[in-house]
This record gives sequence, structure tokens and C-alpha cells, in this order.
Amino acid sequence: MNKHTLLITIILALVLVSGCNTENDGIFMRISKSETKTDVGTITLIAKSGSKFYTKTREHQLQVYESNPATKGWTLLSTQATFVATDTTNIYFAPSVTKDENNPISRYVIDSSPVAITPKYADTYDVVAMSPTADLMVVKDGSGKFDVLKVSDASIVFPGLSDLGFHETFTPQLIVQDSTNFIVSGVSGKLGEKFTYTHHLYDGATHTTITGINAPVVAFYNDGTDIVLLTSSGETWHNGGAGYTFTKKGTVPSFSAGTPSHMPYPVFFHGGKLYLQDKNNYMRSITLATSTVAEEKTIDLSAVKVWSYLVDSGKVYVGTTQNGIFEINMTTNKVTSL
Amino acid sequence: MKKVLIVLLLCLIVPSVLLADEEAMPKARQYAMGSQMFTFTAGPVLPAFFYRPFLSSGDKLLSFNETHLKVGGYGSIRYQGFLSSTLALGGELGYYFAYDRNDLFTSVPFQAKLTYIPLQGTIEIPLSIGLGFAYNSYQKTSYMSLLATAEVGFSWYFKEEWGLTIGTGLQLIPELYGKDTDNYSDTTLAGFMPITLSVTYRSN
Repeated sequence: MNKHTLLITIILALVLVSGCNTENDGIFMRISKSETKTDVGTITLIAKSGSKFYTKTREHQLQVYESNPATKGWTLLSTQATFVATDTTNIYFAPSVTKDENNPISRYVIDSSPVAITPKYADTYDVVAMSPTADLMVVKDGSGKFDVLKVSDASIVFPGLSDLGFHETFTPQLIVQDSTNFIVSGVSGKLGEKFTYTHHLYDGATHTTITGINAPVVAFYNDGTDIVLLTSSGETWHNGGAGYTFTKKGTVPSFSAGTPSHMPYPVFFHGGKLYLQDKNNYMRSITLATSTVAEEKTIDLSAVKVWSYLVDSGKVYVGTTQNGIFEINMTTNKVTSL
Repeated sequence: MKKVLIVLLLCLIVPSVLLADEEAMPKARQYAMGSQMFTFTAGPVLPAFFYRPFLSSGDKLLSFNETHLKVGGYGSIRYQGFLSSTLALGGELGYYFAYDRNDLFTSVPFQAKLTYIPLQGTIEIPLSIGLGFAYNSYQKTSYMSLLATAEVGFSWYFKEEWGLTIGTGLQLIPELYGKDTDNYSDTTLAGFMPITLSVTYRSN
């Protein structure tokens, strides 16, 4: 073997072993960031009280997590929490029932000791969706229309949505920013082989029916001026800074909606940006004023898959699919396991 | 990168130097050219370190528990033929596994192995270096890397042909990314420290 052959062999070997893994972080980097799995599985954050996090976990369990290092641990409150909502004082929850039957809704008083769980509504509402971080639910009434109600007092926030329905696996979804701003997004029909979608945006004062976006809306944010919608295909739609007419602005790279794809997608808002995690676990942001999408490399959640966020007293908490709860310090961008 | 090239060059140079010295060696040796060794090895592996030279923030060097890898295991089969009375060359195929905090990391190293045995007989001290590749898998991704190993052992031949060896050393797996790639800062030199027990069959 002469010198040139040897050199070429070495170069080929180096090319072969270099840069073959570009989808994720490097293997050893990911190993060094790996986090311990928790037994509770997916964590939907509902509310925080002191060092306690109220959550819905896998198998529809309502659980509380004590994050104080001295007494860390999970406590089961109920196994009947397919749907959850909160008014910050109480958590309302309901089990799944057979289609078209009404769900019994229970109330848990946050921080109650002994645990106070009482019936709230006995088989009164056919619950379609609840929002884990707001006092809202979508129910189907006797005439097949959908109403948006406050869970706490059953007052109707928005009545009689008649242009949505159940289509195959699609059910109307409640996409919530807070108890005032929400979207009910769903399938309204079929055009040829494709579904058509309608989205009802409500901002506390104005109801807007949006029909030009033919994909489920899975997240949104309204700061009173700018409104950005995110669809299940990763498209961003913007109102141009005023009004309720939306135009497509761009696409979030490496975006992958949940399963099913019309499920609400976990996002949080901070400093004029809507933050989300892409399918490779990298954080990205959508600047509300411009709809510009950027990678947020300094917030490192690459070792975990985000399932939910909770913003409480200016802090951002993250519920994961299998690694417990984390806190993001939005000043230093440091991520801490709780 | 420069270090890897230096190791490769050393592997080419060292055998020729040792072969040149062969005539000066004493003649009372266990082995001769054509002698063979079959070795079966198993044992635990300590994660020694991860060195990330291009990391812009955070720890460049992580050792032992900081790597998040737990103690793993290694098993291998090796065949070597003697080039001279002290020097054997052959190949080794192994399997290494270890869990991090959740998931399994596996590596299938295959390497050319050069062993120098200065002390021979009932008690032997084999010194080995190896060069090759490792097929590494973690979660849903795989990565083919270079591999360099160095090990030292202490052997006791309880029969003429059969011996036991306690060994340790260092296995180096570089995970390399180009400067223009997104993963450049993930470039890592991973070091593993196996502590092994081997059974060797030798034939002259």
C-alpha cells in the first residue's frame, strides 16, 4: 500500500464516520443530557400552588406532584380525569363515557386536606373538550350544536356552534390561551376527499368565524393587537396587526403535530414570542408581531419531549412525556428538573 | 483529528520497529511465527469520560457519573496469529452495552488488534492496541465511528493451552462532526474503561 492509497483510505474512513447523524444532537451529547423517567408518563400541567403541581397524567389520573426536594413525590387524587379544567381555586374533571352519554363532572378543591372531591354536575353535560389551564369546556347539546361553557358556574361563554361535527377521528378541539381567549377548531364538512375546517375565534368580546385555513388550528396567541395561529401542518397565520383577517406567513421547520394531529399543541408565550418544541426536541419561537420563526438554541429541552406548559407567576414550567416536570428560567434560559 | 491520524500512523510504524528488534530478543519463547490465540472476553465497563472540545458553553469534560452512563458490559471474541515470538496480530469483534438514565446505548466494535507479549510462559503480560470501527446505537439513531483501544492484562495459563486473563484498558470512540454542520459542538471523544476476564486458548 503506497502513501497515497493509505491517505485516501484514511480520508474515506473519516468521511464515512463523520456527520452521519444530523437529525438530532450527537449520540454522546444526548446521553449526557438524558433525564430519569418517571412512572407517571405524560404530564399535563393544570395548576401550581406553592411547591405543588396539579397534573393530569397517563391513564387519566389526576395527580399532585410535590417538588420540594425534602418531600418529593406523586400523590394520586383520582383516576377519573379524562377531561380537566381549572378556575385556579378548583380543578374540575370528568371521565370518558360512551359516545353521546353525559359525563359526570367532579370538583377537587386545590390544596384541600383531607382531599375534598365532590360531584359538580351529575350527568348533565356531554363533554367534548376541556382546557386544563382554563375554566372552559365544550359540550354538545341535545340538538347536536356545541356550546362553550365556564365549568365553574355553567354559564355559557359562547353558544350554538352548529357548523362543527364529529368526523371519523376528528372532534371539535378547544384551543385555549386563557379563559377569555380561545378557539374552537374542527371539521365542518368535506370537499371531495378532503375535510374542510372551521375555526371559531373568541377574544372576550368578538367572535370570528375563520374558514380560509384548511387544517386544524392547534395553537394560537392574541396579545390584543397581533394574533398568530399555528396549524397542524406547522403553518403560521397572522392577522397583520389588526382585525381578524388572517394570511399565511410561513412554516415552522421540523414541525410535527401531535397524535391525533388536531390535538392542542403545547406552546407558551413570553416576551412577545410564542415558544414551542419541534419534532427534534429543539425549541423554536414565533415572534408575534412579525410571525418570524426562529430557533431558540439557548433553551435546551432536547433531552425531553414536551407535553404541556404552565406559566405561573412569570415562571415557565414544562410537563414532559416521560421525564417529569422542568422549570425554564426565561432570564438565563436555564432548564432545571424539579 | 490530528490525534487520530497520529494513532493510525503509530499503528503502522510500531509493528515494523518491533519486527526489526526481533533478532535481538532472547530465544526462549512460548510462541513462534504461526502460533495462534483464541480469546473470549467479558466484563463490566466503566464510562470513563466524554470530552467535547468544541462545546461553547457547559462542561467540556465529563467523567464517570457525569456522563449519565451507568456501568455497562462488554463481551468479545478475538483471534490472533503470531507474526513473531512476541507479537500477535488479529481481529476482535465485540458488543458493548450500557444504560443512561433511561435508554440503552450499544456499540459493536470491530477492530484489528496488535498484542505484544514481553513476558511469556505460565504467567504472561499481554499489551494490546487496536484500531477499527464501532457501530453505535442509541434511541432511534445509529452512528458509525472510529475506534481505538489500548489494554494491558495479566494472564495465568493453568494448562499448557488454556489461560485466564484479567485485563483493563481504554476504549476511545470519537463522534466527529464537520465544522459546517449543526452538530459541530456535539463532537465528542468518549472513553470507556473495561475491566475484563478472558479465557484464551493458544496453540503452537
